[in-house]
Amino acid sequence: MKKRHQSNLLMTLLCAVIVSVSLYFLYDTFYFQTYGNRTYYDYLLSIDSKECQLSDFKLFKDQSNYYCGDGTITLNVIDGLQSGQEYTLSFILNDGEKNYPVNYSIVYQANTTHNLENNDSRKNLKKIDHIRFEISDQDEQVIYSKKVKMHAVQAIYCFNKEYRIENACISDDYMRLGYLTTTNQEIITKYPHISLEYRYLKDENGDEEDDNNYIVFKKISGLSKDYVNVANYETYDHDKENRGSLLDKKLSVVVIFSDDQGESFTFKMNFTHEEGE
Amino acid sequence: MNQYLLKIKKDFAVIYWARNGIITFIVTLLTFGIDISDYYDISFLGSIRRIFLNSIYTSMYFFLVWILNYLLFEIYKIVTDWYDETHHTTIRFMFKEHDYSIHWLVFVITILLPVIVMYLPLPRLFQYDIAMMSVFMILRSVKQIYKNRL
Repeated sequence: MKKRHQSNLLMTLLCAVIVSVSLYFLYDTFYFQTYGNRTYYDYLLSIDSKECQLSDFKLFKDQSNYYCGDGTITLNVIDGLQSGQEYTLSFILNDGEKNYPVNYSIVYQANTTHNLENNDSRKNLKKIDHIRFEISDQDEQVIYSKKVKMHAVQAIYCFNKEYRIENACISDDYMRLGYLTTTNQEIITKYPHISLEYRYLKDENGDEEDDNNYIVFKKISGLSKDYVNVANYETYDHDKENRGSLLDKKLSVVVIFSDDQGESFTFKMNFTHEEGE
Repeated sequence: MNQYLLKIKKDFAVIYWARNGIITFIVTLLTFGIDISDYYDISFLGSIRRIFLNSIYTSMYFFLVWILNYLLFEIYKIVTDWYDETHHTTIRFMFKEHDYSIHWLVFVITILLPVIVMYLPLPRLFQYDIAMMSVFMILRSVKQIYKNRL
């Protein structure tokens, strides 16, 4: 081999070795930052009609299972429904081909609000095309039917080199807070207590570095082992009428790890919208 | 007009010289895009946004893999060009009045190497990358066979 080729080959080999070693040592950080828990678009469902109002009914997906529930429905006077009778409330999820009903059983009273608890997951449901709400009697006759509005919430996240908040999402007046993940397992034993302060900027023209320029809207405290790398979905309901839309706010979180001796480790992360669908 | 054509030619020359960098960038983009879109069950375009717009660490890793791909391709070029010059283990044949010679050992190694590497416990991202780089290298070798025909 000619000398020129030899020196070229040696130089290229050396550079390739250096880059390979860098890739090896950076792989864990890359994997942590890139391959998070899979999130899919979530929805808030609502109905606002003369006969019934549905609010805070959440529909979200974790890999292949849809979870719905945790909302309220108010039934007013509806023709065909009799007070004191048992009826089935059905949310018919349609993926474009098949129907997947989610049922709740209630005893009807006019102008009454019912809590809709978390319901069974719907496996293998890849997407939802539309949802209908139906009330049927014990003979499965549909007495009332209405289309449900689906409001997509936006996925958000925040991160630094070792920590991420994943699976958070927001809409105008609701936030699912997500959960904290880390590659640093030692932090859980070193600092057994954790506090997460979710906040938004009070004055957009003010100093972003000034902690007094933030409103803390949700604080979570507990043991680090219960909140770090644990899919613990807490939520926040925002007063949109008086405080403005949550979508317009600059959100951030302050994470405070502490031990029983009073030592603490604190850092902040700013939320940003998650790209890629 | 001549000046204009000369300028166009120079502009395209830059792209020609940078062709290996451009092709390895496309290979790296395909590798990351397919892996991320498969993981998140999202579109390819969505995965590209995830590479460059979500985390600086993802983007940084992408550029490092691109550089590695480029270096590996340069190593491959140097070794195969040297191997061509020493005329080892050739298969010769005539086709459409041209004399072609294939240094088959290089092809065998280029095909066998990724097959072996697929069975190593490497992350899926690198398995895709090795497969795509192998295809690129084989295409380059085929181009050289055509270019060196007599």
